[in-house]
Amino acid sequence: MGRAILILVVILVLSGLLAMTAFASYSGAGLVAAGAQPSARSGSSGGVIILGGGPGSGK
Amino acid sequence: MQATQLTTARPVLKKLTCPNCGSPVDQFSPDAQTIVCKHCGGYIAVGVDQPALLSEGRKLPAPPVPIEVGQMAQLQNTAFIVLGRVVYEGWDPHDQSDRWQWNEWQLGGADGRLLWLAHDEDGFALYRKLKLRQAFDPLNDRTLPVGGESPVRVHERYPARILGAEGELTFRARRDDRLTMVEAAGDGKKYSIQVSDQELEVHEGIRLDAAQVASAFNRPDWIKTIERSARRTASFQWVGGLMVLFAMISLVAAITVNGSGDALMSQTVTLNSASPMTTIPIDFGQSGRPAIIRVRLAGNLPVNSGVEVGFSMISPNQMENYLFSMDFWHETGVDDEGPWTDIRSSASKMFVPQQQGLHTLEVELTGVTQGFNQPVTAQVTVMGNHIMPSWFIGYGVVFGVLGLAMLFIKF
Repeated sequence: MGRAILILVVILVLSGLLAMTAFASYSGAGLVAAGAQPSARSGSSGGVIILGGGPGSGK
Repeated sequence: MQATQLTTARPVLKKLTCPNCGSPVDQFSPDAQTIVCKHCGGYIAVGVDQPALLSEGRKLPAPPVPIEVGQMAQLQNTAFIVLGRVVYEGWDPHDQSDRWQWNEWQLGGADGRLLWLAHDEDGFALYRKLKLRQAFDPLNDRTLPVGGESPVRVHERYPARILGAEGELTFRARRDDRLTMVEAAGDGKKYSIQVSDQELEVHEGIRLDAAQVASAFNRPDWIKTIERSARRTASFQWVGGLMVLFAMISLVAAITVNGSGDALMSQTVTLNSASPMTTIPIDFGQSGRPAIIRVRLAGNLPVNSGVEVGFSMISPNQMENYLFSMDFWHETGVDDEGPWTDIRSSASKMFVPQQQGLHTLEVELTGVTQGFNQPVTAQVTVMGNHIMPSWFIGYGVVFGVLGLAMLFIKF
């Protein structure tokens, strides 16, 4: 009886977490959003900057 | 195996005096060759005119299971008494930090048999002495000639020592005595070969589970503990199995949704220092769904150069949001392993449009390496209504690892 309840609880918890995972995957949780609120930076960056030179700088 | 009394009042065969500490020492077994003094732990040689000290002792680690010297057990329809215990330590000859211990209890039977009950990380095994009919080289032979139908294969050889002992032993034992252990298995039996400077002893053993041993020692409390542990282990295995099942479902979901989404637009853009920005209209039919921006450069960048491309999104209500930037490079160099080349000419990142309708994607050349002055041409593709596999992968990895760990836990 005790084990059956434990298994049922575990199934419920795992199912709930899987559903939350599916929703996070579907809604893009954790990704940058566009159109929700103004971001600190907008518009052009103000021109092309010179990146730090030398091999390995882009890695 | 049937229950029998826990301990017995054994008749003392001989009363001795410890040559090390002077304490009284009782000898119970006529076969004893070594007795370990209860008081000082000294190893006393008996069976000679006067007891002689073989070596001094040390405090013995507590037994991992509730078996004590003097207890009775009913094994193979015979009453046995625990004469003594030896704790061994083995080690990996190639890695001396890898050490392990095991216990062996010497059992004296009412029918005169002497057995060894061994306990290690694999559980219990009951050994009897075996005589080999053929020559056996313990350091080199791969099979043990026991004369059975199936070959008995040697699977392990390692050095060991006597870490400590208690009670009576039917051989001369001293603390730190070194030996070579050879383990073999075949025909459903285990074989333990102990090689010392003086002798080679072969023992044939059968596995016993803990419940059998507890029952043989008539220990209801121990049996209850074992049953409780078995129930707990079974519960953990159920939970672990469920976790692995859900993890597999999640990983299958991750594979299924990988690459999902609708292609909303694909356009070639060309950016340069004079004209660093371009805009692309995109209509998102659904809000709140992940979108992917994929960029593939038309060919590689010139050697030892790099560019940074930034992306911003103007939503239908004219709200503008900077999303992210992508770096592309073509680098070369020389290191210890010789010349190397590192090229990145494609990338993708995700975002979530929170509004529905016509958006404007701003693509801007935001940075170049020194001396880079040529146009950058790239194919920009936007996918909408994507389902991210990364959350499913995370779920699958976390519960997969947790579930597998729980499947193998034993209490």
